[in-house]
Amino acid sequence: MHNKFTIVAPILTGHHATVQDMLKPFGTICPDTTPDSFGFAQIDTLHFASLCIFNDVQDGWSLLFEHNIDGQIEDHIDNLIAVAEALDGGAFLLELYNHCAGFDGQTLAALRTYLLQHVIKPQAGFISAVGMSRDQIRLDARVYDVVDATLGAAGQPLAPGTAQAQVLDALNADTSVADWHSFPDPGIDLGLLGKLGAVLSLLGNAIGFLVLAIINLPRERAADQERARPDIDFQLSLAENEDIIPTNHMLSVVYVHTDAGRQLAKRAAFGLLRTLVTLVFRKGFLGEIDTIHFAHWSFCNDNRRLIFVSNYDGSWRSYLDDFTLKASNGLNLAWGHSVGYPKTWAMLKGGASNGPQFIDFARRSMFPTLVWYSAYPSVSATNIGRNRKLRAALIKARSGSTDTSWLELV
Amino acid sequence: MAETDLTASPDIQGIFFRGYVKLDQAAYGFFRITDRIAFQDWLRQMLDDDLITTAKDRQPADGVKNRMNIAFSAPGLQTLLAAGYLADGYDHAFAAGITSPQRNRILGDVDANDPGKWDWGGREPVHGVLMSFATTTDIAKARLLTALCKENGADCTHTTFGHLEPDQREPFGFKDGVSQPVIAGTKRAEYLRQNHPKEAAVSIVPAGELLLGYVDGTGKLPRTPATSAGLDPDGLLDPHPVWHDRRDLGKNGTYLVFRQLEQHTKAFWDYVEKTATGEGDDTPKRLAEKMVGRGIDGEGLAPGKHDTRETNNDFDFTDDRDGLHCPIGSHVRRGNNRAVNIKNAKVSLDVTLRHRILRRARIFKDDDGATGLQFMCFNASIVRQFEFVQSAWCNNSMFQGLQKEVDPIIGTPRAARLGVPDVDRFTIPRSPYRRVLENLPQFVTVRGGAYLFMPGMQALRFMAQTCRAEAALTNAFTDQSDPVS
Repeated sequence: MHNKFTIVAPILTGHHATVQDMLKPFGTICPDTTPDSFGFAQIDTLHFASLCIFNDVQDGWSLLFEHNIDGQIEDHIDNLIAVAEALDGGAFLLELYNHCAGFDGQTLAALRTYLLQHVIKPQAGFISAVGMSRDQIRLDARVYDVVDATLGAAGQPLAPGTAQAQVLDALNADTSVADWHSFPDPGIDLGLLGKLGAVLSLLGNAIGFLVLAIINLPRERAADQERARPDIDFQLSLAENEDIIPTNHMLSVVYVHTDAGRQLAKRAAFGLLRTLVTLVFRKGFLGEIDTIHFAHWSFCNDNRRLIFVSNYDGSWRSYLDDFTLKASNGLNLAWGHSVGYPKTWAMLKGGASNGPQFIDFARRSMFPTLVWYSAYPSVSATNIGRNRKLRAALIKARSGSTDTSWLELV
Repeated sequence: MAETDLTASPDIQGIFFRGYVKLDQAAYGFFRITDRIAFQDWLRQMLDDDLITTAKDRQPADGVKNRMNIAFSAPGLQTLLAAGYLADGYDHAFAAGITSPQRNRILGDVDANDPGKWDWGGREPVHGVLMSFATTTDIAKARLLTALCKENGADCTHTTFGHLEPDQREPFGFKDGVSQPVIAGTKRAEYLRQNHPKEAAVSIVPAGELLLGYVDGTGKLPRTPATSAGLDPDGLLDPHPVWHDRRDLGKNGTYLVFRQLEQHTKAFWDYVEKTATGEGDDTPKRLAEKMVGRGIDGEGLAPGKHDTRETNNDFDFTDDRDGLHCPIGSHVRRGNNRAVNIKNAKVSLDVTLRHRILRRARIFKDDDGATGLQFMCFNASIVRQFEFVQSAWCNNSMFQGLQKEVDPIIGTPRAARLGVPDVDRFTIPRSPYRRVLENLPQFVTVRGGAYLFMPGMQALRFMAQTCRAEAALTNAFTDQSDPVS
């Protein structure tokens, strides 16, 4: 089971530059990079994490710490704290959070409480590798690599049966994939109860959403749009930490309209998205998009701000192009009623389909990612899905199946 | 709305629509503007003498020995227009320039392609290019150098040459320029619609995808640069469609990406020679064709026969999703996915058609034997079209489920780093399982490049008079404030 959440902590007035200086040198962190002060690679529940700071006209600067994890939030925070303690007695984390308001503790126990108090669970989100733990994703990737290496360049292909036998031998001989046939795959089946619950929730949210969409229509059509283009230096500051590896990260924090009608409509829209994702988008695709690992939306700053964090394959530009060309309706559900958003109809039409204006809106709403961690930089969301299928087929082959069509997956 | 045929427009520079095939020799003069007044005077003279060729000029025409076209970089426009250069209105990749650090990463202009190593445009940006096409290299060069001189306010910092091969083959030996976008409303588009509907479906794009001032694939006008109305006292330009108090500098103009790409032809053929097993289909020629994604004579590799000019573009890969015919990672399939971007063929095609570029490449061959392409392409947005194709498709090592590989022809292989393995292979889907070409060297190296804007003729006329307009404005105020003198 996955969880995704953010920890948003207010930074003490005047301390944001110090926090930025502490974080910026880390940049992109992967399991192979030299150990970092967070010990990300040692937190075995962690898929993706990021840290950045953003400012708010009323509340000033906040520190945002994003987590995409296996299992329960509390257990994960325990892991985070335990790893920090082992690394440097927790000195780095304590120093970081001592720049945050409301934390005056000197102990990791106090920090644990503080972090849990500032956890924000998302309104809606998407995960492509449904049900897969970090360790399964990595194991599947190693299995793929063993198979790929065994098949080699294949100037002359072996007979399928021979190839299968060689691959199974190689897997059995390789100690780095010792549990390749026994490691469980939880699968993607939602179960009858889960489906029923999701359908009911979908209906409820859909009715609420439709009513609110009509009520909000006059305000929606009258809302101002912002057409300014992101300036070149700002774009540079964002690009600095992009395209370091083929997977990328984005953080956006927008202002949303705060009147009750539109706030409620946003809740219903997120309810719709949440249930659609649970019910329909379970096979790695969000509509036609298959490049998103983990993404989610959450409210912060008294529901005046909406955070969007995403870990996706490919460049930012192609990601946003996907949004506008393939998923504009879904994006409107999530980002509609944001201040300055391109004009929408009932949070569905218009908006993100207005390519250049939407892309500028999204770019302007971003803050540079200061620290970003990926637990498996070598594989795309598509690769993860393929590897999952491959290992499942090989487990069948091991128990005597003669179906060698898995060879086409490699 | 009826689409008008733009191919005879007197306001569009000729090279956009024509390859000037009769003028098979070209010289490209990259220049810096040293004296903007002298440069504008020269430009005006060129325009008055009809020396900048337009789409209206009949081609091929007998007796014509020379054609010229001109385009400017962002620093060039800034120098020429001064306060009339409003950076906000331009495509932001153009404004930032091809060598800006974040562009290097997405374009693959790193390591061997590092702009610091380029012959031109890398260390010092050019202000523009004057393209001279002629029947002989001597004529092309002489015309160029006569034009780009100190008296005309220009310093020609680098000259490079290009030519066309009679059979359109690029240096690796492949027929080139087979698939091009076709502008809706042109005779060619009508011909395709009526006679080759399949090719029409994957080729025809609205004019606004390639030219500013016309609606694009979204049904809206593409973004167009603005300039100051104060510098246009004679009303040469139309009002800007968004900022009504400004003028539209973009109409009938287009962004031009120029990249000089050296091709290591020996390394290319040596590699396939060494790698092919010779068994069955595993021949050097076939491996090369699989990397390119077309037959050496331009044949399409999709199922069926696509080996004539009539048939070599009438396919969309929907019958070849697995790439058993045309590999998913091949050069042409990365660059132009047709209808297999994603599951839905219709949406896929829309996506692909929003990322087409119009190419006008010529071949260079230096005295030292170095050869390759003077790659030129036109598009309405460099970010959305050229850069997207180059980064999201060609240089994306996670393209459509692939791993550890980029475009085998123009991609930039990368050594392992940050947990990402070496990116240096090429996968050929095959039954019962794939063939992999390993340790692929880099076959193409970038030797120079620039992001340019090729204005329409009216915009050139405007650009040739802004110094005078500026002076008139200044004088008007000087006269008022100091009536005695």
